[in-house]
Amino acid sequence: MSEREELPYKISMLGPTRVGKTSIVASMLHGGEQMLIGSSVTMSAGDPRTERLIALTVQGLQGALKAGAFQPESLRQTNEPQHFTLLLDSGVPGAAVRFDLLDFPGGWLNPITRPEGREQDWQECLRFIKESSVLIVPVDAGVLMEAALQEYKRAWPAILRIADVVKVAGDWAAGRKVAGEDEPALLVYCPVKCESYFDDNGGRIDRSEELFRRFHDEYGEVIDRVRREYGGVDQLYCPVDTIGCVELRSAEWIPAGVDEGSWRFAPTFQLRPEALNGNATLAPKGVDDVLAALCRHLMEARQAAEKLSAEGADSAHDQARELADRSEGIFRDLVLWLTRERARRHQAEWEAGARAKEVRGRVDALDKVVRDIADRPLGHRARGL
Amino acid sequence: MTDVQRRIDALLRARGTQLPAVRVELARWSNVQAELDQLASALDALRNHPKTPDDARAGLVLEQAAELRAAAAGLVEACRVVETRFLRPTINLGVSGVARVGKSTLLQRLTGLGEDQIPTGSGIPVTAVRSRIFHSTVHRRAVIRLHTEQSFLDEVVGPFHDQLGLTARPATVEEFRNWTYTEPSATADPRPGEVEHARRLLSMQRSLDSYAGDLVGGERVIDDLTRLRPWVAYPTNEELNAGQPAARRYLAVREVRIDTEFPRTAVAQLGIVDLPGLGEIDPKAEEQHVAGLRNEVDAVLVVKRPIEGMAFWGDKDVKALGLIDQARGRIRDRRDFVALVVNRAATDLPELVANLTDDIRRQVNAGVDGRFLTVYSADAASTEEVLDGLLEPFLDALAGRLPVMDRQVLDGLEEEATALAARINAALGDIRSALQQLQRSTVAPAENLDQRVDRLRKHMASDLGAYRDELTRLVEGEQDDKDFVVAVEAGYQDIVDWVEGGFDEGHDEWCQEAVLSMADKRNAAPYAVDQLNRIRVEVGRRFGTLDDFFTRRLDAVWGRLVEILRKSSGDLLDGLDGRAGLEGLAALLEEGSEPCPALSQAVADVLDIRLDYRTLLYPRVRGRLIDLLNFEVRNPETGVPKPQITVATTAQGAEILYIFVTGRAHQAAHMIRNALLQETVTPTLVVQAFVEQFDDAFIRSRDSERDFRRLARSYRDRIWPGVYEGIELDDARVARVRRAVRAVDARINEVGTAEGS
Repeated sequence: MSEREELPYKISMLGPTRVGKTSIVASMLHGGEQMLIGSSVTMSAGDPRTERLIALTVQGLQGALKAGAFQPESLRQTNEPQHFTLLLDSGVPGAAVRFDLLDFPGGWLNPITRPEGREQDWQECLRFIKESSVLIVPVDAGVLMEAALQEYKRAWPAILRIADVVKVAGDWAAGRKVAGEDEPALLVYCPVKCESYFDDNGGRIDRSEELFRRFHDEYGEVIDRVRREYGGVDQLYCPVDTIGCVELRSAEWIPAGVDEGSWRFAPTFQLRPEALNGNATLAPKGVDDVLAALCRHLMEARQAAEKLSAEGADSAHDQARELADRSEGIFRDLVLWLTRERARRHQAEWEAGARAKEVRGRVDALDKVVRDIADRPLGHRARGL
Repeated sequence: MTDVQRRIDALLRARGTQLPAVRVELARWSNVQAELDQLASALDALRNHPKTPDDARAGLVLEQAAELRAAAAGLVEACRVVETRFLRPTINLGVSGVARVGKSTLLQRLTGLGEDQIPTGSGIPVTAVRSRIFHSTVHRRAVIRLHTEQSFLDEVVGPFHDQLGLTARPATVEEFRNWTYTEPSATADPRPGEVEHARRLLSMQRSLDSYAGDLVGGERVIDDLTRLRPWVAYPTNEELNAGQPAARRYLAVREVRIDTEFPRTAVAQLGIVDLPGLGEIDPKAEEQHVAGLRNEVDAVLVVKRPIEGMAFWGDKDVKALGLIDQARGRIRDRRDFVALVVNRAATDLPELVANLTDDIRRQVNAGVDGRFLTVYSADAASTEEVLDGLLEPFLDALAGRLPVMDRQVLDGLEEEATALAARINAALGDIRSALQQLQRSTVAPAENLDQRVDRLRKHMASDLGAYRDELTRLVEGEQDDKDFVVAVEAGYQDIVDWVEGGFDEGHDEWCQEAVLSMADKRNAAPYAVDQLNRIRVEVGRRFGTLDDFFTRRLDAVWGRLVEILRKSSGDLLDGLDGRAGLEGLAALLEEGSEPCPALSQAVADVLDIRLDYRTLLYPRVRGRLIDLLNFEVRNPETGVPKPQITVATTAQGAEILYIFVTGRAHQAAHMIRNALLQETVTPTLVVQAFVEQFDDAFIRSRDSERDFRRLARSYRDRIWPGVYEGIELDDARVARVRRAVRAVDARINEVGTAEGS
């Protein structure tokens, strides 16, 4: 439980290295900032480390854009687990939602490729995943769309780590079920680097149906496994442009390692024509849907938790506490957070003056922002699964 | 219009309507020549076949093959002569006679021409080039056809060398100029004519500079006929004695056609042909004389002159008449084709006139005027006498007799054709008898042939089925076609290298050119449009190298099919592979004793497969290529076209344009590469479809079984060598002879001759 008493909202990101997970986080921050312009609520990096990581990522991207063309694999990469924190903040201490995101190296999913001596770190990752009520699975859209040969397609499971994703996502879904039939869970599949496959963000060719078909063919096993483990998981398909002003130039498939059929995907991107005249600005797309899904999930969880811990109902309160104790996920955090929120409201009612009014206003504003974002209809890119 | 004119008009119309039938005959006998050759060749093959019984060999020959063929060639030539006759738009009169009989004077009076066109003289010969002169109220001009250097050497110089017994000939005009000719020596006892020929050749050589520049071929039109003389006349005596080599431009002339209005003629379509003089020194004079008579004239006037030394009918006259008879051909009455003209001047001695007239009556007409030849008497120097006393009565007679002559020519042709057909029929009868003899002396087909054919067909079916299954596995297994991938990647890499090398120009030069263009047009768009178009063309062209892959793939497929077929077909396809193997099979099927249409069609179809980038793949990628490389694009939401990029017309703008264009080129190459690679199964699919089609048509079609039996009967000994002894009548060689006999038979007995049509 956070010392700062914000509501911790744990999100695990599950995907291979280099797929662009940090870029998703950066885009979420950018998207959140844009959405909240004009409100008293802000979205920001929750800690200096996150702020630095995101700044480095954005700086790297902007450098690449200046060059006109770039290969994503040349951008900064890490093989260490990364914790990101984004804060949806009302400004009132404790009245904030803290998005805790864990990005761990894809290779760690497999005991064979997991580096030796990092067992403890992996256990911590597993604990975090278990406590996460949201799983984000980034998918490299180029890998799916630029595989022209059968042997490239046959390399998909290895490149996308499908077997590992099936196992981890399946275990995570099973864990949600244990938490309780009513606890909402969300799994968001995020195809990234989609700039060349949609025509709604500067692109001219719409290949979105083909992308979805290929995604569904390849991730169908994950979707089915999760559904079988826990039908309460809301599975969502949200393709994202994390840069926006680029398009695919070409892509090579390079033999990787000594194993036959082992390939590395190496795309090259270039600026769109309209960005060549010095107008290269980041224009992410689709991340709004991810944020909306997260907020919707949060609202649903909150409603469920509130029902269980209704004020003045001792038995219900006890029931909620019991569930919170049992739960390792959002319910526990929500119940505790709601309890403290009520306390703050009570205190504000007893306190007189402008300060109390402002506190109430900000708490309500956060509430409203989350609700507003949750109520936004999903864009045309997103699909329920 | 005169009566004569009406009759000539009718005659020329009739000739036009008879022309198609003559041409049919011409084609027929040309074909007979070729078909006789094929028959002789087929007989040779059968006669020399090791299994042909010895006692049957003697009959397997086309008796008098060379003579029959030569006769057919003669008939073709005769048809050509008739065709030429019927093609002529004019009635042509030939004028013949030895030197100094007044022939040129007569021609002048007939045509109204003068000394500059038809020179005359009382001494040495003056007319060097014979003209063909046509009555025309439209033109007055001469058209001179010139020798080339080669035709001059072949047709003018060469015959003199032959006459002089010189085995070598000059190959170039310069060689002729420097050729060393020796003057005939009295001590060497020259042959008759040797001195004259040598002198002529030497004078031609010495005068070379005067005409070498005219040996250019083609035609030269001379509108001013007063300038014609140097082209048609020998040098005068004065010119010859002037000490310098005399000019001899006439040596460069092949022939002259003069159009001019005749003083008076009853026939508008009249031509006068000055025939080469008989007894002239020119080595080819007689040959040219007969050829001219045969091809160019409808009738001939032979001029005689009652002067001292010539006032009698001598050997030269007999010989000349003999040559004219050669050319007369099938025209039965000599009087229709030739007439004598006694050129009688007022100054001629009456006794000489009487001598000549009497001698002609005695020797030519057996004592009765006009019995064998009509004789006209006129003073060639008198226009009235020539026109009234000679031309008009002669044309009048000719108008009446030409239809008869044409009929006789056609009848002659038909008789000749009928006679030759009878000779060929007789020869064919002999060959048929020989084939019957062959049949009696050969063994009957073995009874187990049918079972062998069934087994052969089943083996082929099994092997073809295995190949089909192999291809099906490739298609269903969705295996990448590695050769295709390599070919596509090579094309892609070629484009990438081209783009990265700055489109053949290099980055700097490209940008400089862009700046210049933009400054010129005050706009970046035209240059960008040009460059995008260029990329579109180049990308398409460079992937066109995939055709090499398709060629190899097809060769492999055909090779595999031949391998399968060869396995079960004895030595039938030995030494043949790939496409050549299937073509060989097609030829065998064609030449077999019985037709095998189902198998032939199956082979023809599989040979007709076409795999190439332009037809198979380009249509699939064209749309994407155009979309990507169009300078203007449509806004997906509004549909409004707009330029993909706008840049300043500066060096910086050119740099941005370069980045844009290279980016688009890379994208186009990548997009097409991916589109092609996604089609990787397509070449295999096409091949699979064709092999399945071949298998179905070759093995399982309704008539396949029947055709296999026919094939086996034709090539039994080659499919199962050593199994069967003797030669069977169904053997392809026998079949080839039978086919050739049938072809000749059908051709010579075709309905429709010049007479009948």
